[in-house]
Amino acid sequence: MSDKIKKQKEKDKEKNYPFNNRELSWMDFNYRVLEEAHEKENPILERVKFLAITASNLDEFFMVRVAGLMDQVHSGYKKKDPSGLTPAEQLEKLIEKTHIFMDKQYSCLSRSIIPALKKHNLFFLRYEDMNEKLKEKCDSYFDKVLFPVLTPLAVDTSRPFPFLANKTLNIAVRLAKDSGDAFAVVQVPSIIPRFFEVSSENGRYFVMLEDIIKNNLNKLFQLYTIEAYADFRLTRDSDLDIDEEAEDLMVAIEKSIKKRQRGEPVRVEIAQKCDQALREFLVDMLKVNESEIYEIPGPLDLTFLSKFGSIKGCDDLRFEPIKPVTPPADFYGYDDVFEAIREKDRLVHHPFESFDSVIRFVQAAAEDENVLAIKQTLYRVSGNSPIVAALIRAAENGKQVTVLVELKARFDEENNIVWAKKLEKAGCHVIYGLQGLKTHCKILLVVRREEDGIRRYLHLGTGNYNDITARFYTDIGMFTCRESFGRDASSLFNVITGYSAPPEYLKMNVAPLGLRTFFESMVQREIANAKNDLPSGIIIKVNSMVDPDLISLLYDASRSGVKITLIVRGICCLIPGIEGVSENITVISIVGQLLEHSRIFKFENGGEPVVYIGSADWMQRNLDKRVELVFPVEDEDLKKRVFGMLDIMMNDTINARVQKSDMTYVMIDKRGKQPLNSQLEFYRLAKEALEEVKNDRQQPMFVPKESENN
Amino acid sequence: MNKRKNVKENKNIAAVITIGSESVNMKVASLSLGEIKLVDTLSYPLNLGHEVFATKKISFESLKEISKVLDGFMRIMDEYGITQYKAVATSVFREATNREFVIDQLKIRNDINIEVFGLDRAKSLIFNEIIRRSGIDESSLANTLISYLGTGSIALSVYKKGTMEYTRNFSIGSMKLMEILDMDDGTLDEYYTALDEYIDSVLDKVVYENVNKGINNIVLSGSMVRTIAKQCGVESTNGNYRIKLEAIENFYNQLRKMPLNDMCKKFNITTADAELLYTASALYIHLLKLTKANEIIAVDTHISDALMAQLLLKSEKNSYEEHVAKNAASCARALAKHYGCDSKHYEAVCKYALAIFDKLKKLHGLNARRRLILELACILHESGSFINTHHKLLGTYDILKNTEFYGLTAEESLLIATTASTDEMHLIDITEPFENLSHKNSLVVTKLCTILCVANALDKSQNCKFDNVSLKLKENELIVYAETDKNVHLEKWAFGECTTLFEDVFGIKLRLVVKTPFFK
Repeated sequence: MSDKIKKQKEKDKEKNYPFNNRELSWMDFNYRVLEEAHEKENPILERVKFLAITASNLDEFFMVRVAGLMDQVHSGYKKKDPSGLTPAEQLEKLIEKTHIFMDKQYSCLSRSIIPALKKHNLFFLRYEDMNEKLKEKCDSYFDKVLFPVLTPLAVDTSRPFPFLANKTLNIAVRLAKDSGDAFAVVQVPSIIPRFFEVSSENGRYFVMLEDIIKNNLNKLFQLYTIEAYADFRLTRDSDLDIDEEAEDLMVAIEKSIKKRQRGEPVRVEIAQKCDQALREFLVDMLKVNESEIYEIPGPLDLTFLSKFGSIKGCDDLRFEPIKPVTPPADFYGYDDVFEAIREKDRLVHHPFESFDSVIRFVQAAAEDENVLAIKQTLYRVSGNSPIVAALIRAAENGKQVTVLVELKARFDEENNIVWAKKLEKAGCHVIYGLQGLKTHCKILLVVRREEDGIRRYLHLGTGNYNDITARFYTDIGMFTCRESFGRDASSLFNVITGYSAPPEYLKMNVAPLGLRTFFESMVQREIANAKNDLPSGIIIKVNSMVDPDLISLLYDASRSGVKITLIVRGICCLIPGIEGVSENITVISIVGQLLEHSRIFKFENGGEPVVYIGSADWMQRNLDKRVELVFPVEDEDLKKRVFGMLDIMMNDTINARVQKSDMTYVMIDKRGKQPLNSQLEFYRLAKEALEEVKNDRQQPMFVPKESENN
Repeated sequence: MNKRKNVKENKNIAAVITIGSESVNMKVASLSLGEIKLVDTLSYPLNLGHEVFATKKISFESLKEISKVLDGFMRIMDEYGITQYKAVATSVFREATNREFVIDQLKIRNDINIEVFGLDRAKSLIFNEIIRRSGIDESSLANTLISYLGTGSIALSVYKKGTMEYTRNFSIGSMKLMEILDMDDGTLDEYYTALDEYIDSVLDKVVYENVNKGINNIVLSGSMVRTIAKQCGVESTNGNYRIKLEAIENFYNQLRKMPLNDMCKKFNITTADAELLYTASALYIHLLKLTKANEIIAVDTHISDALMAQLLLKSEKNSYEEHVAKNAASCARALAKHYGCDSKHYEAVCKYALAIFDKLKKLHGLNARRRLILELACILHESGSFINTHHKLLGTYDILKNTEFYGLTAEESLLIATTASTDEMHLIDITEPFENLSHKNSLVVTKLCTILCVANALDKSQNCKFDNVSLKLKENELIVYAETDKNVHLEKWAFGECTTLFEDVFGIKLRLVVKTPFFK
């Protein structure tokens, strides 16, 4: 750590700035998602999906964050976080908060969602609620479909407790035996849908898979008497420990993925009212503490609701889909994507505007005879990625294709390994990532030979090159062929490919070497401007705001009179509205139909505002341990458009919540304000922009005025 | 290793690879509307300097690393469809005793030809590039010191009244100074004082004679130019920086109080760069103080820019050759004056020799570069008298073979020395090749020596007796027509001594026809 940073940290300590704990702040974010599940204005199946999201979010949170805290506690690590809590204190507060949260999830399910589903003739049936005919149907389903795939595993002295994979749903069974109790475990197969539609007469009726199994257990244990059974589910520590110095990173990651399945349990969910002997058996076998056990008053693993929310039919119970505008207004009327970009920089706002524009760009590059090379970073790729297909096609067409596939993208490692191998096989030059750094930047470079020399076309974005997530993540992408950007892009790829040391970039700001200092200098400039009575102000939109040094700087800025608005979807460790510290800072969070994902940074700059977009959140990991890219939007029209986006988000009255100084979030006070759902507004604007440009093109140049006598 | 294939040819784009003391670099540029546009720059840090200056060798590990880097660079070249490129190594390869082996290995592994540039070649390329970029009319340069500071060497040239009159190279580049003075003991001040004294001792008396208060302008280029300019708070105008003496002095005084580690922290640079920064600043200050200049014009250019211009601008190669020819000759004349040579005599010899060379072009098949060697040999063929009148030719040979000629290689110095050290009394034996020259070079020198001998014979008395000399080349004979009303018996005798050799070498007869004005 440099002396400068040390001194700054000491100064910050002296200032005694307040911070929220990042884990607790994350839980607050999940609460906001849960609020959407409660929200009666949302269509019921969307509420179901929101509830599923809270569950899958929580799973990942346990697998990574809670597991990490547990590791710290076990290893005796006692250093306090910026909020002043030791790992043990954080864990204690977190466990308390997660227990309450999970209670609220099930309360939402049973008290709010199930009754609302009933109103729409969607029913979840328990066995005891079914008539014989339906029961027979379920039993038959068991016999024909489930029985062949089930493998009951007995546990006794000769058969140890089986290994249970992460996040699998299981049924523990206590059996009566002459010599005493015997135990067995039945895994609920994950390849079969969690719910079975048993009837569609006078409504649609569903039964949970585990209910069917539980009511047919006697067929699995015919020689025993079944004394008790209970659902349970394990969540395991899943943070990969990768040997990055290994000669072959791909092999090292493949090994780690296998290990992940065998991580230590960090949470055991057990059905409420579980038989005491069975509970003791599980605690004993799984070697977990009481605090790691969560008793669940309903179906375990609510992630199944995601699929349930998408059941066929029932479209009226979902949001009106946002159908991405194709082509985006910026590309309307252009058959040649390169021509469009040559004319001026282009901006696309997903998912309101189609991601196809990006796919078409790669496809055009793959087929264009003047394209010499394509270079791209891939962080999370969809299952059947048209981008990857286009890259493969480009390589087959003799282009020089270089792809950085980040193999360390959490939970996408296996998928990315598959893509990396496919790309390599096609002749692409594939880089797996950089040692010690995750390459998170989103950049696509096309090198093209043109009459006046080499021209580089770029797509730079805030989101992944993933055509699936691009349908529900809000992101911004910019296309440009400005020379300075092209130079920087080539330099960045030269660094990523290991061919060159980091250069001095002309336009781009790249982590881990220059991005933190860039942000620092931008905030400091605003502070200086405020002190000199020049126009100042900062608007930042990120997914997470965690970095203590930058937060301290924002506090400094607030104290200097700089007005700051932070639009932070998730974790925000900054506490706004504290007198003498942050009364000039407003924090809002937008949680809605789409996942807010774009990162935008606007600085008032003494009256000549500048705006940057990119891939980086304000977290230590983004600024210090990742290759991230933040770049300016320089075209005046595009700048205005991005400023407009920020304005709309700041005026959202539907999906926005504002953080108070006690760290709670409240809905925006709608009084005296026009209702505004920023996401729907962006959709409207995207459609309107396309219509406008269509009309512009269709307008005749001369409109003859007809004689009034006619 | 990446073998180049499937490359789409693109004539308007080129790459230059330079292997330097601290890094392996590549620049890619394209020609757009007659202008060179930088497309890409790559710099892979590889500290060969420390290794070579300490062990005189490039290790096998470093060789593998260079090969890996070149492999990546060639991949980038493929991406741009580059087919024309130049790969050069500078001082670090020059000083490595195993350079031939390393070059051979890189040819085998990467299929790339590395050319090792001598300091004079590097210097002349840079100086020519500075002049090209700045648009200065070279003939207008007066009282100007132009210098290139490499990481392993420093090169100086002085222009007086529109011509370059002095040029010198020193193997004391910034990096090397640190290597030489790798002192663990002593205080910071003692260390830096030692460094300053060392610089003072290396820039010897001859330098002080030429680089002195008569100099009004200093133009510098080389490593650290940009860093120093930045630290002095100077912004670039078209790649040029004007740094005031006061600013650079302040900066230098700051550095003197700082250990290297502090420099790294303060300027956010590596230790290697910090070392360079100090020595470069020390050298700049030193040069400034020798002159009357109150500012440095620092030009941010690199050898790769010069080579790029030659690759992409077809006229630039000729322009460079002209620059070298002109300045090598002017420096040689200044040197000849220093050695007390008779200017009338050597100018006459030069004139006759070059006329013969040009006339015999079809017979000797030698290029402009060889013509320059002949010219320089003619100018300096009497320099041996300065040290020994009895063994003048030997003296000439010894002086010239160790002379650094502007823009010429050490091998070319040897050709000049050998050419200049013959006359009609000591004619060469064409059946005996020169011991210290390759067969090819022996052939070249034989031709040049023959021409120089004939030219020298025409002014054997050193009295410039002939007014008009003209040449006529017939099928089997070169006739030299010379006008004079003076007694030219000596010249005729000397000329006659050369005719057999001339016939043996060029396969035609040589005849002198002396005309008197009366019969004109």
